[in-house]
Amino acid sequence: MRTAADPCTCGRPSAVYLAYGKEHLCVRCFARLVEKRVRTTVRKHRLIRHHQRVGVCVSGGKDSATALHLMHRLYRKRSDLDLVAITVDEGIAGYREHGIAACRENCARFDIPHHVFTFHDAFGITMDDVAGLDDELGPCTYCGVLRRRLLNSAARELGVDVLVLGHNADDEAQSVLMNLLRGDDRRMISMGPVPPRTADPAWIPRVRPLRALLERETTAYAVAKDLTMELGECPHVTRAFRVAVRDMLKDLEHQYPGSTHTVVRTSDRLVARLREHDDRPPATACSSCGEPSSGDPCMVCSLLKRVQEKCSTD
Amino acid sequence: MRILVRVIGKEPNTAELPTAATVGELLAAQGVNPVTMIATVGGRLVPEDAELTDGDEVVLYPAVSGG
Repeated sequence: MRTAADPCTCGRPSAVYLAYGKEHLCVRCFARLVEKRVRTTVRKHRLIRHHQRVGVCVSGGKDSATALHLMHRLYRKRSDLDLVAITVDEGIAGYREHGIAACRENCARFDIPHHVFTFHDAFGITMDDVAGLDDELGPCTYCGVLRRRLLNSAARELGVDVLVLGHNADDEAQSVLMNLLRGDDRRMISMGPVPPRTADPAWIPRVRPLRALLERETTAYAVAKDLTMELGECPHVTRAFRVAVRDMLKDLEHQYPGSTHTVVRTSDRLVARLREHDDRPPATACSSCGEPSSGDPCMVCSLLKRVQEKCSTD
Repeated sequence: MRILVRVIGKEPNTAELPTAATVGELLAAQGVNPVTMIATVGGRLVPEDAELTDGDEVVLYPAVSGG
């Protein structure tokens, strides 16, 4: 291989080209930029505060591996912060066990305690049980709702104050466009850099410190730092709408660099305005399970009942 | 020139490219949007305009969510 056309501004060979900034960066300068951007996101929006127990949600994928590494790198010297890693095992044979193995390797490398919580223990079902049972809702609906619930209860059990998710700018921009295309302004309110304020201590806030990084940047960082990651695809994935939006955004980012960041920034401004007029009723407790919910029964109880009904009719 | 291409999670393949082709041109030849892949050559991260030489082994890491 010959060298790239342009080196990094520091003179070292380029490793990554940021098309939206027309900037070549070496590995070292790229890592610094990533770390600075995440530190700035955390500070600007006060995502992590003093004396908190921080739960990093890890799946074994590139984004959560990068989130774990960055939290360790940026906060390992903060004696008032306590890092713990949490993995949800949805029960997907041939897929999740590879992710869990990757999580274990990274957690051992950074000396971060790692806890695994399973759908089977929490709900008595696995995603392998549910997949194919409900074509109308699809497996991703079940997985998303149950995973959010289990992460929240796991965080409470572990005494975690804030949950760190590995969502990147692409994930954020996809969600923004999906909400716009569905006309779901209420769901838009729950987006943005800072989670909506809730007085309910049962609800553990979830933050996204990687939201200013493109997916290709989190991937490049994971490769540069030699993180162990599982790059396979879930065998049950059916998110046709998200995949269509994702592909559209990737094409836009290629043709018009910076599009993804623009979607996220514009959404943040809109969300701030929407929250000024937030007339949603406050979350209540589900009368069936007692967990915080915007509806009664909650989505988890509704879905579990639906599974029971589907199983009994089969 | 001949380039060995290894996409993580897929079978390796060989690409025939003109001399001094770049990583970006390799991705275009493979029908891949460069935004969706991170490339390494000889274990080093490289940008799309890095020039390849005959016999290089390019490893491509998918930068798309896996569900």
